Amino acid sequence: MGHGHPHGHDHGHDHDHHDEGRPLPAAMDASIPDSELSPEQLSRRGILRRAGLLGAGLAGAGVLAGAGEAFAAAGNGGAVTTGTAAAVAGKPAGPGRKLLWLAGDHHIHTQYSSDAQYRVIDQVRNGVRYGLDWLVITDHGGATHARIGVEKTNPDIRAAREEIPDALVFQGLEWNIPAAEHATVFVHPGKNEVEVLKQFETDYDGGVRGATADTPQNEALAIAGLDFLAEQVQRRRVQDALMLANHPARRGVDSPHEIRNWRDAQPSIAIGMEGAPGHQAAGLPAPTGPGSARGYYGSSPGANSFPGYPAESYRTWGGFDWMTATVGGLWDSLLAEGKAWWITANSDSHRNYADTSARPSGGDFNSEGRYGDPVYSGAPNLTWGDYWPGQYSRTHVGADSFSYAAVMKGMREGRVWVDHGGLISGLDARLRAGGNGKGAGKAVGAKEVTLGGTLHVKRGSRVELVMEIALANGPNWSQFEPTLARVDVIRGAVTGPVPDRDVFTTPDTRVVRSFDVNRSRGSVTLTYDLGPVTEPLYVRMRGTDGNRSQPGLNGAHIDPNGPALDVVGDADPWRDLWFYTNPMWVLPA
Amino acid sequence: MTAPAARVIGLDIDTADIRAADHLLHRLAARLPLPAGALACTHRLRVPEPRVGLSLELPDTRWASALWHRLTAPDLREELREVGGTELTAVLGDRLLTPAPTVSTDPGGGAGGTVPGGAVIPGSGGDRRETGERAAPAPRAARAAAAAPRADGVRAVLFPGSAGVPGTLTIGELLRTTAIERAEVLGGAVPQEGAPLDTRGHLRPEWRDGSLLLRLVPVVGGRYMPFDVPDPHPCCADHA
Repeated sequence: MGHGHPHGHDHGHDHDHHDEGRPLPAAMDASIPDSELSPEQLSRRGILRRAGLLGAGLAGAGVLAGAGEAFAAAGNGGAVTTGTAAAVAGKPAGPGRKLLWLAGDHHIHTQYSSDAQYRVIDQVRNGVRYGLDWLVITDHGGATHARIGVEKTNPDIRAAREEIPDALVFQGLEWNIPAAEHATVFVHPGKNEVEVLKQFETDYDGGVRGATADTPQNEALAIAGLDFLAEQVQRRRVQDALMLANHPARRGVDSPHEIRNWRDAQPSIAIGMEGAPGHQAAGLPAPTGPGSARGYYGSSPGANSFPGYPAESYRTWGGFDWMTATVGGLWDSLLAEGKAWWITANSDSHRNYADTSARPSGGDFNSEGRYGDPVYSGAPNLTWGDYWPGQYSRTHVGADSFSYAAVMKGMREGRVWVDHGGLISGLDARLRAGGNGKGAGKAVGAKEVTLGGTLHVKRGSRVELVMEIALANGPNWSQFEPTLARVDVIRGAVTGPVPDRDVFTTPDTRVVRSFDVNRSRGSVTLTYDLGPVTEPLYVRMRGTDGNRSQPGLNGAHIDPNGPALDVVGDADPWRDLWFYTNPMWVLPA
Repeated sequence: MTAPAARVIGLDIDTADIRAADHLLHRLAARLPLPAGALACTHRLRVPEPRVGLSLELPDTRWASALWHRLTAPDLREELREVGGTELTAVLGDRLLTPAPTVSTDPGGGAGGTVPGGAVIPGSGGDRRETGERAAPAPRAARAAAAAPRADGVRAVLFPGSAGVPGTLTIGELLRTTAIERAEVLGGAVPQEGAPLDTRGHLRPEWRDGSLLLRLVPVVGGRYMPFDVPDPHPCCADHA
């Protein structure tokens, strides 16, 4: 059985198969027995089972529209079951509201990038195989891509959507942000998706426009590009559009003020950045690996780099970008302004480690806009530093339904957490007011929010953080079962907009609580009592396998056991696993 | 009384690319006889646009003047233009050497400063004459580099002891045999004297608080390598 529907109608009309209300993928539909699933669907269901995402949690029934940020739960909306993964994520986020946690990747290249290789269908099939629900195809912006690639990629994406209906495949591009680094830009599918992306790239891509230097004019062009995207949404040429900064610290060219300017110009479009880059296999030791810098973060300051960034910012820490890895660093300095800025983690898959395919000979990328389809090479290539989408990095989005719109909305609203190497299989975090401080059940009338949300409370209210984590509950894609050693809670004061928009530190954020977990099976419930809250604040969480750590760059009193500097040529990503959540805010009034 | 500025030649080759600047400095070193105590550095500048300036710091004004005159030789200028893609702009004290047809003054006398039919600097629009605030970027960059040859963050390409550093040596040997006075690992740790350093033939210490500091990163095998590497993974192949 599984999902399928006839295509008796013409595809040239407005209605695409992407609207809200499309059926759940078979793997998620508990009414379809295992025996009726295809092997791929069964594999997906297995992953969902581990995260406790089947049964009561995922029937897709009773989805409320527009539930807003803070919820009132009616009484005891479901018992807390400890010890089994079934408790996690099945819990309602409000009266009847259930979230689907959909795993995805918004940074994927194909044969339509001059430095990449795979067909669209290769990336989608493998992404689904590795458990992803959504993918964004983001080939490099440039003259050839604007002229040829944007249009040629689209039929391949549409074909993938048809062939693999259980995956949500977005078309996007990797934008050369004028005056800065790269970004994922993508749109909701629709009849204008190509036209909008093509015009955006032609008019606003830094490579196409020769606008890569960090000048005020180029910085303004970046803002104009974001304004253009907003206008396309407003005029309903596309239903939605998002932008996220990729590998932001890699070359030091995303200055803090540029990030703030993107965010403030279009906060509904420019919503965040990669917390961890792709290219996670790059640090595997030679000769069996590329022997390079993890994430291919091997740059040093150039003339276009923001002069204030320290050398430390050009390298990865536990596989994560310095902006995110540093407690009290750039990401925290943005969050301390009380404004949304979310982090993600993706593959940046160009050519994957140990893959046995290769580009065919012949052909001309510049005139054809693509490489020919991959051919068999006869041997695994151990010099390539990427993983398949979902194989190592995952971005988990809490969506109201299995739809393109819901994924984009979930991202915009910050219901996002990320993990590496399948460290955990599910996470449900709530901030709630009015609890008894011990996290055991919900007090009547308790308000609560989940990731990305803002809890509005009376000044002095007691607030608690409750995290339910479904552990790995099975092997990852390197065939071992990771152990979650420790979870940290990071708490920061919201101090409001900063006078100097190039600030990249905030002094009032630190690790406030650590939990020793040391488990790989079942689930755990962790509770942190924030006490009475009188000033605005945020909390965010991270967890690790505990294999590599060092005091954070702002001092051990801020972060005693932070991620460690990755070693060039000796950074096995499977031995250094982390998860990070996005924040939740408390606003007392 | 010798003003320190007259020992430092500032250069500009209309580039924002540090590798191009390195390449040019190496070519200069090959074609000019540089004294043992010379320093050749790159500067990340905003003039106001991003640009890489270069500086040549010589032990005394006699050396500086001699090199200045060498720089004006047409065959050298042509060769350097082939390397850097454009003719040099150079500054030494009050002297200015520019590829533009307009000729600058050389109040110190001598034969230097004129450029016979020099090429227009590509890519720099607007007024090429130096007129105070509206100075073209090339002379501004050259002057900025010459004015602050040892400012924090200035990056040394050639420095005393830089020639002939082996591929592997200990941190202690590095500090003893070159002008580098400090080594520091990212994050702030100071490596031990006996720690092995793989130079990969590419040392780029930076000035920090008046001395040369080499930033290091850990590399496989319990060793260190410089933070500044010549060939980081390319950003992407297609920025066309």
